[in-house]
Amino acid sequence: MKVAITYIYPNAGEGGYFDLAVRFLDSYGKFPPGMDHDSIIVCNGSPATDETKFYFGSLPNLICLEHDGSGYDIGGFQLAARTVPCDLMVFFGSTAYLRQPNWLVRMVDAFQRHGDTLYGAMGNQGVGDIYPHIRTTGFWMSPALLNRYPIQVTRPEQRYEFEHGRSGLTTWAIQQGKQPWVVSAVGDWVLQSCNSVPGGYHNGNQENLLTGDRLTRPPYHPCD
Amino acid sequence: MRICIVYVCPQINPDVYGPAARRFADTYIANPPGLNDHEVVVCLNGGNGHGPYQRKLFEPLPVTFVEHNNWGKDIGAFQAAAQSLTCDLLVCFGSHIYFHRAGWLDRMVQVFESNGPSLYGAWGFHQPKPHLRTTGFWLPPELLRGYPKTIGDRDRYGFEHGPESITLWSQRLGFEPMQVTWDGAYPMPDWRVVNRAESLFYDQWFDGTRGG
Repeated sequence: MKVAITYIYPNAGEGGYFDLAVRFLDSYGKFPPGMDHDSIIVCNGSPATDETKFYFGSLPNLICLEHDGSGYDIGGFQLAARTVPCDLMVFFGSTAYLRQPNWLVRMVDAFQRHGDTLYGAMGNQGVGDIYPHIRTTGFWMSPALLNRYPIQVTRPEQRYEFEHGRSGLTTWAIQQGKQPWVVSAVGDWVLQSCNSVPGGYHNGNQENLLTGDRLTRPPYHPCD
Repeated sequence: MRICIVYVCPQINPDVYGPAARRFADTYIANPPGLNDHEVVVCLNGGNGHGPYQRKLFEPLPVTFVEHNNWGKDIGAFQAAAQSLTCDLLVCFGSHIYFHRAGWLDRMVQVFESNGPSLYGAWGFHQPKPHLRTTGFWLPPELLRGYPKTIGDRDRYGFEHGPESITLWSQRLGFEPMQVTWDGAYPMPDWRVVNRAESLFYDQWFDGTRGG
């Protein structure tokens, strides 16, 4: 199975994104994926320079894509899914980082057991206008499935609808008959049970999360 | 000219920084710095005294030890060194620096003497702001002492590549930050991504998995 990971690198690192990229790369070095993969860097709103390729050069099979930044991270994800052929693509927003060794093995394992649907490291059961959803800072699915999602995200405000709105990716997947899954280091849970994940996003110290982002705790501390 | 090399050896996480220190010492010995007289000062960051373990990490390299409370981590240690060490040229090495070719100090001094007081480094980048990487750089200690902020744990990245970085601050003072390779010395407009052979020394980023 051919697997690719996608990471969003906005604005050539301006505005704090360089430090977030360093955090992602640092965590990648600390927590190896456990299997080979392609690495897609979406240079969002900036060209893919030699410097960018240098920064991300430790990632295997590096592919740098240039995007105009429309739709921010989600627009970048959709570009990657359209552009790079593979069986499974993992999507990381700029604030994402890894928290467990062999995280990709866990992701692929879940994908192979449950089939072509939407997976995430964190879920939200929703309330009010926020529909139950897989959080889109760290999720994975086949690019073929994402490419069938009918809305092209081109404006920043569409991102929230994409993540947790009535026409969002999770709701759309469910309407396609797909069961979204939340996957941690210790097991897989259907989205409806995401609050029960031991050490998950809403439960305990979040020690079993595969990925983190700006809303996870404890804060990530680079070691040097 | 009196030259001090300060190497930061964090006392936390010895599984990481112990081997890094050993690599620094081993590659230093295997790739001698050159003819310029100098001293190597190891800053034990976050430690409370040095004993046989620390000495053994660097043997047989002749080093002296100083201590810092780890505030500001590597950058805090560099600033503390600039305050306490008396020298004309201060070489600042983070914990992941190591060497691959002899004569690296002679090359640093050669460019320093040719171009005069300024900030020098092995790697110059334009993203996210123009900066010389601060895992390995050299300058007159007065320049580092004059930096207007004592760096804390949360300011280190700003010191390296933020809008108030040591690079841009030095430039505003009229010093031209220079990227130095084995074959050239480049002002900011000419900075470029170097290959392994051109790099004066390596660190955890430029370790053969990046940069070709």
